[in-house]
Formats: sequence, C-alpha cells, structure tokens
Amino acid sequence: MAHRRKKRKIVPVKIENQQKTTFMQRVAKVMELPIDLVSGMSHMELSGNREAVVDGCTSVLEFDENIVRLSVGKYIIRFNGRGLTLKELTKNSVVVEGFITSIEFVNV
Amino acid sequence: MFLTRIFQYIFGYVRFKAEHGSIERFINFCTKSGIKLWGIRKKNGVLYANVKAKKYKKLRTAVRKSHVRMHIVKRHGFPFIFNRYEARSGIMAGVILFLCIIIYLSCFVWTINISGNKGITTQEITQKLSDAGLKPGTFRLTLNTHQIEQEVMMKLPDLAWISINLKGSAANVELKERQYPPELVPYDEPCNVKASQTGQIIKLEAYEGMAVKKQGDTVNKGDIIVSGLIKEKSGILRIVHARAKVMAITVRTLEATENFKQSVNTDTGKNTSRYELELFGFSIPLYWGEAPQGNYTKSVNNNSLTILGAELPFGLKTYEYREYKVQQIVLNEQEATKSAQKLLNDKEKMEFSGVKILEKSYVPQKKENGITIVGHYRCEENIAYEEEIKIS
Repeated sequence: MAHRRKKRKIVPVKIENQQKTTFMQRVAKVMELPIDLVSGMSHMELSGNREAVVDGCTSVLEFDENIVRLSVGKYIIRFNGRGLTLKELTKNSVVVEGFITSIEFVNV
Repeated sequence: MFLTRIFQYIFGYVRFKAEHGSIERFINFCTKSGIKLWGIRKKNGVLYANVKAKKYKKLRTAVRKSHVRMHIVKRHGFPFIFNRYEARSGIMAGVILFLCIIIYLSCFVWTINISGNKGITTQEITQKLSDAGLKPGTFRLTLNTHQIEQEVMMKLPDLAWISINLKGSAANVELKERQYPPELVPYDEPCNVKASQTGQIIKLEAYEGMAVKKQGDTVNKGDIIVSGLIKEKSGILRIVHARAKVMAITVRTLEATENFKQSVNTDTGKNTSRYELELFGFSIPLYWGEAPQGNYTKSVNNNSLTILGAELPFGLKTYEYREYKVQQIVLNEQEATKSAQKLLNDKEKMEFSGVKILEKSYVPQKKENGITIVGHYRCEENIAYEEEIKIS
C-alpha cells in the first residue's frame, strides 16, 4: 500500500505591526476614491519641502525649531528639519513651515 | 492670505511670548478652546505666537493649566492705534469728519466737460444742460442721464446724438452735430434765371433752360438771362427749372459819412467792483447795497478755481462798474476822413462777400456837417438768381 502522505496545512504567517484594512478602505480602493475621504484618515499636502498642511491633527506632541511631532489619530507624524514654525494652528489643522528634511510616520 | 493679513490688521492682533512650563500643552489647550494661533515659532525654549486682540485674555486658562509665563511682545492693528489717540479725540473726530466731507462732496457733479461741438457754442449747451438738470452742484447719485440726454436732444435740434458719462465727480458730455443733406433743386417748380445786378456778361454757363443772353451782352437788373420756357422745333412749349452761372462785370457804389461833431463816452476813472462767491451754481453776494446808478458800463469776470486743468464749482464773480461821461468832441477834416474810410471798409466787407473787386476808387466829399467818402467799384460776380414762373 502506497503510503499516503498527510497533507500539510498552510498556516499564514502573521507579520507584526501590520495594519488591518477596514471595509471602507477596501470600498475606497475598489471605487478608486481618495482613501482619507471615506475612512476618516488625516490628509496631508506638501509644497516642496517648505510647507506641509496637515488636516486631522488632534494635538501637537513636540514643537521645536528642528522637530515637530503631530498626533493624527492612529499615528504620529514627525517632521525633521531646520527653522520649523507653525504658520497656522486651528482645532484640527496645522501648517508646518520651514526647511523639511524628512517626514516619519510612527504607529501608536 | 493677503486679505487675511488685512483683516487681522483691521481687527488687531497681539504678538506674545510664552516661556517656562509645558509649551506643547499650552498650544494644545489653545486649540481645544478654539483660539486660533499663527506665526508660532520657538527660539531658545521661548514660544512666540500671534493671537487676535480680543482672544488674548482667553489665553489665561491655558496659561494657568500649562504653567507658562506669558508676555506681550508687540501690539498690531487699528484698535491699538485708536486707543493711542483715545485721549486726543479731536484728531480722530477730524479724520472722521474729513472722510465724511470727502464722501459727501464726491456725491456731486463738480465739472462738466463738453466735447464734439463745432457749430453750437459750449455756452448754449451748458445752458440747455442746466435747464435739463445737469449743472455743477447737482446730486450725482440720483441723476437720470438718459432723461437729460433726451431733453437736450429735444431742445437742440442740430444735435445728432449726445452722451453724458459720469466719471467720478466729472460729467463728460460727448456730442455730435447733425449734418444736413444738401438742398435739392426743385425741378418741378419752373423758374427763370434773372440778373441781380446791372452789368456785362463775361461768362455764361446755362445748366438748364434756354439762354436768352450771350457772353458780351449787357443786362439790366431784373432782365431774364436764361429762360425756363423752351420752345421746341415742333412747336411744343416746355417749362423747366432754369439753372445757370452768370459771371458779369458790374459797377457798384458805396458811401460812408462821418460827422465832425461826435459824442464820445470817456472814462472818468471812477471804478466800483462788487464780488459774488460762486458755490455749486449758487451765488453768495459779498457786498451791501444796490448797484451804482447812472452812466456806468458793467463787465462781469468769472474766476473759477481750477485744479490740474479741471474747473471746480467754486469761484469768485467780479462785477466791475466803470463810470463814463458823454463828451462832445469836434473832429478835424483829416480825422473825419480817416474815420469815414474805416466805416467804408467795414461796409465793403459786409456788402461784397463772394465778390471779386477788380478796381476801386474813393472820392471824399466835404459837406457842412462832415465828410462823405464815395467808393466806386468795378467787380466780377455771379449775378444769376432764380425766380419762379407764375402760371395762372
């Protein structure tokens, strides 16, 4: 009798820190809509490396000439640069001005 | 953004600095309580930011909670300028009054500029416009220019069109005069060409009708030169409107007389001036009493104020009264001849318009009262005139 090999079950490997895509994000992807519009994510616009407009900012975590850290709900945006200023600051939007050298997104 | 800056300046804003304590916490408290900050900069651990003047006091809660110390760096905007001059209310009142006067005066028509007229005088148009309701001092905002245009068009039939354009406080009136078509020859009215002067025909051009006279013939005043009745060879009589140009040599005489005794008005040197202030078409007399009575010549001089060539509705009107007395003088023969010659020359200009004078001679005649100069002229002129044939 031929030895029947037991079929191995494929178990998906869980990657750490992987964000789950929500239903609305999937809908937005199918409909080719801006993802921030339907899933309530923050929206950021850059004008070269001199100005960044961030919508959906909840609070300013750190503010300095070289670092600006903003909390935008599920993650933190960190601007590194020189001579950074907050050109305008309202309840849910910030305009960061200065010489931006890098932008980092950090999950909370 | 520029507009935002203007509004910020109008409503006033404060540049402040915050130090010690938690700066980030202070910023977050401000945003959560709905206070908008801008121009936020951090230098050597000190935060500099702008806030609206009215919201500055609301920052106190955020200051207390975040344990920062706050100081005003500079105040910007109109409210702070006004506060500075609060004690000097006269300056502010003067500025406001000045603006009010400027706004009030810009509601009136100050000058009227008329262009495009050739035959009609500017004075006549100004008068008609004034009658229709447009003159310096008219309230501009309620002015119905269309109605005024219509009225002036009715009053001046020589106008082809008129347009009133209000530009600021100036009313620019543009117009064009009517061009009448040339007069048509009434061919249906039969007429003869007759001689208006006695003379000798030197050139005869008959355009219509039958020439009765020919070149070289002499004609008396009233003679038919070209007849409007044409008798055909077949015996049919045709009546036409005769037209012709008849150049003839004529002899004419003119005379002018000057008396030796003359009454002349001589200036006594006594002058009186009266002034009137002109304001928006109203006259304010700057004198008392009545105008001088007797032998006076009156002249009016209007001096309007002008700025950069534009006439303003302010001015000084001067009435000048010059006293004269009537004097009897006696001219000598030479003076009387000279004066008579001048009179004759003026008469020549009046009488001989369109007439070519070939020869002229003057004969002075001395009379009991004065000198008479008789001028004899040999002229070349068109003596044709048309006279209707009356058929009963």
